[in-house]
Amino acid sequence: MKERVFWVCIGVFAATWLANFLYADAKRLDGPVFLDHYVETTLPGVLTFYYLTDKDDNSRVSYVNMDGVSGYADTDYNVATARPVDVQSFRHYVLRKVEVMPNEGALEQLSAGEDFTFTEMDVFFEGYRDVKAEIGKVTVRKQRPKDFPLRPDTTGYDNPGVHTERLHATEKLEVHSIGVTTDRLLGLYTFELSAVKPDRQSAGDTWMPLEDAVFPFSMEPGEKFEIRSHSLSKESVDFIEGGYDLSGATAGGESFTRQGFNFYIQPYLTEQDVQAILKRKGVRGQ
Amino acid sequence: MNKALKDLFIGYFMIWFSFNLLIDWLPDAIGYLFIYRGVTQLADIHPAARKARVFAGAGILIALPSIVLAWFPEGRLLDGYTTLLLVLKLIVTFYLFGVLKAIVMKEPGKALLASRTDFLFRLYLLIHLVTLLLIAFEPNLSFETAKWLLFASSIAILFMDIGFLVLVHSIRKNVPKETFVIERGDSLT
Repeated sequence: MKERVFWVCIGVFAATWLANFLYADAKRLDGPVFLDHYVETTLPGVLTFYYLTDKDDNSRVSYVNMDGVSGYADTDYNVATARPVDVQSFRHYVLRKVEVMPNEGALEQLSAGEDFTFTEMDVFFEGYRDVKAEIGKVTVRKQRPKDFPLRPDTTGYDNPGVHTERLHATEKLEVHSIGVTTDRLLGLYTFELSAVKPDRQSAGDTWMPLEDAVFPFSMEPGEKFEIRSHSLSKESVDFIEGGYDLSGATAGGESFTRQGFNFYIQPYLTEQDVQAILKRKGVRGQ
Repeated sequence: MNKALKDLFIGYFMIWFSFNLLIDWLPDAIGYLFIYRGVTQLADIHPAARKARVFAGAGILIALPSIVLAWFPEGRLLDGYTTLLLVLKLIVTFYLFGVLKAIVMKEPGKALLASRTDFLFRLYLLIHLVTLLLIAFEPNLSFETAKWLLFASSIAILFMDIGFLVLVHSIRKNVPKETFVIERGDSLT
């Protein structure tokens, strides 16, 4: 190789390096961007949050503040690479996960025993960086009494991706509604009900979509119905934790609610999804 | 000649190999000092030797901080500096190859060694330039892709470094010691 050609190559490298550096710099985020989470859960347990950050960001979340409730954060960490574990990696960003253990005392005090919902939280990273993040909608539900007038008989996974739950009434009651904890679940799962009474079902059609069900319906002690959910094997860009929601009242006038099928859907993003999320959240780096 | 090639061998070995125990006990700067000394003795063989000397001299200064490279925090500064060291090594080696080619070409009956030098020269440049291009694009490649590509190229570079050291050693063994003296005489007349 001639000397001049060699120096041209070095020059091309220098120009390419600079151009790439400037382009990558323009793609840097002002701070980590949290995905949307649609969560209905009960404690004790951890709350999981996903966020996008620059791929060279090595800092971990120290703690969070969820509308006045503090939480201790735990991030999977790779000691060998001295950086948090990436759930997914992209051209400029990585997807990471942080698990938060809310301070139950503070939660109890703040929620006064009711459901606690928040849509934003302050996230404190190592190195005194903090981010006010929109996180979707997370509800920590109050503890429900264990003796429940509509009791589950069986919960099962007959086939892969199919969840069923059979509920039987222990006393005379009325079911007012059955819904899903978040509409986001509807694109990912089907929800169907078996008819409670034989006269409600036409021959060969034992299952009906949840949206076709007629509410309220009454149940005598010992009567049963099933609820079935089928995974549509679709990917989600949001984190979803939830299932179905049922509410009703006993003949004695005591109301009850129940949440079933605790689905836990982790986000799976493509490069296009990442761009769309950043655009939707209105941050630099699109 | 022999001593000069020995200096090149030791110098390149020190640049290539790091022995980090708090600091680098085989510092690159000392390596460039050896190369500087080696090419100074060969300055009359080929103009490339003089250019190699200039860049080896710059290398002594530029590579000084690399003694404490292990203390550098991970980040852009470390990445930029290690890339600069790689470019510097490539430039110095480019001119060293010029010197080596001049030495083996003057040896009748060493055609095999000459073609081997030429082959390694081309391969060495190709692998280093491809690696530099990868490094340039690294900020815009996904972390996983970049990790594997750079891992593969670092293995290729390792083979090139060993190949270069073996070549310098072979030339040293195959070229008579007097060549240097004859060359000096030639250039004086």
